[in-house]
Amino acid sequence: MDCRTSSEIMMKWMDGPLAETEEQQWRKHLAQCEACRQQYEEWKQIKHALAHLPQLAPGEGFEHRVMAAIDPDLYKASQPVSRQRKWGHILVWTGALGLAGILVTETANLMRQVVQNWLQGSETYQALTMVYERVVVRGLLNFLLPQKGLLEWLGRFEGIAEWWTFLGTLNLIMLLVLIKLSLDRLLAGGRREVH
Amino acid sequence: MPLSDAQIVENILQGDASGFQELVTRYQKPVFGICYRMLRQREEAEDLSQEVFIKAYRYLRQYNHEHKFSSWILKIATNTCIDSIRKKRVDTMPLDEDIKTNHEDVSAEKAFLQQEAHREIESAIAALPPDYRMVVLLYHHQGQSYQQIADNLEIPMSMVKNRLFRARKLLKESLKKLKEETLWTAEQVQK
Repeated sequence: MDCRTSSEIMMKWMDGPLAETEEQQWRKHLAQCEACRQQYEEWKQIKHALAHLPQLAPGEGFEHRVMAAIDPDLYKASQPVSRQRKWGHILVWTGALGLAGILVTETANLMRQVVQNWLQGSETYQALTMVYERVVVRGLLNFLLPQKGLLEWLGRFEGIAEWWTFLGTLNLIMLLVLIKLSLDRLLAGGRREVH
Repeated sequence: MPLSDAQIVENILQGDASGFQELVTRYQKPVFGICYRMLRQREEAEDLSQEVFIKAYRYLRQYNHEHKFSSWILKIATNTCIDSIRKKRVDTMPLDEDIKTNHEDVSAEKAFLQQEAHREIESAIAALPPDYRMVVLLYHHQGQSYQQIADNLEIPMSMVKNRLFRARKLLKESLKKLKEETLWTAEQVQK
């Protein structure tokens, strides 16, 4: 082994353990070469010193200072907030869908009435209505006449039309209150998370 | 049986922040060691170490359980140190105090020699350029592999090897010079 190879192996040895045969050959060279042996002694001191650098510790109370500086609720708060957010989203979407449903139904009703009023003036419509009443309604009545109970049951709903209006209005008010509460919750959750 | 780092992290993420103190206790020395040897000022090193732990806590969700927590926190420490050095342009300055070692079970003479050897190597490390110093500390003191250092510093592995090779050469020269100076001072005192 020459001194150049020995020097390369020296660097490998600084990195960690060598292969057994390689180390044997290298040690043999070191035993014969004074210059390489001296290099080895210097590197050995450096390797030892680096491996035994003292562990330094920060001053007293370091852990407490770190603990005082972190936000203990960072992860505690995030879960309820996300749960709140989940429920908040469900509430808002339910409310929005309900509202959209009411709007669509009311618009459709309004349009139906407008079309109906417009058609009622035409002769064709009157003729068609007459045919409808004579053929379909009379046919139906003839069919349903034996089931008088059913007719009476259907008749009840006509009398309580104002109740349906009252319930619809109440539902709409509750829906608006629900949307307001959901928005409050969402805003409160968002503020807590930012903080 | 003490909890593993991964279990502690899991508990913290479930809302038990007190578990973080155990992680600080476990890793304050390696983190502070890196910060102090890179900045060489105790007060600043403590502030920086604190910043490292605060960052680690804040970004705990990003910690990948497949890797060691020690590697992850040292990565934060090295990046925080590099940023701080870049801002301050800290280069080569003496350590602001001698590093004390434990000499309880060695004789006074041996303790003095050990202290002297530590002082010399610390001065030689402090004299290295910051990039070289970081690689030496991570490899020889923190026991990280070439690959881990390359990942931490986000540089190619060939660059890690190159820096380490040059750093060792510089350390050797620096130590040689320090020894010569010590000998010269001893001779002057004897005269």
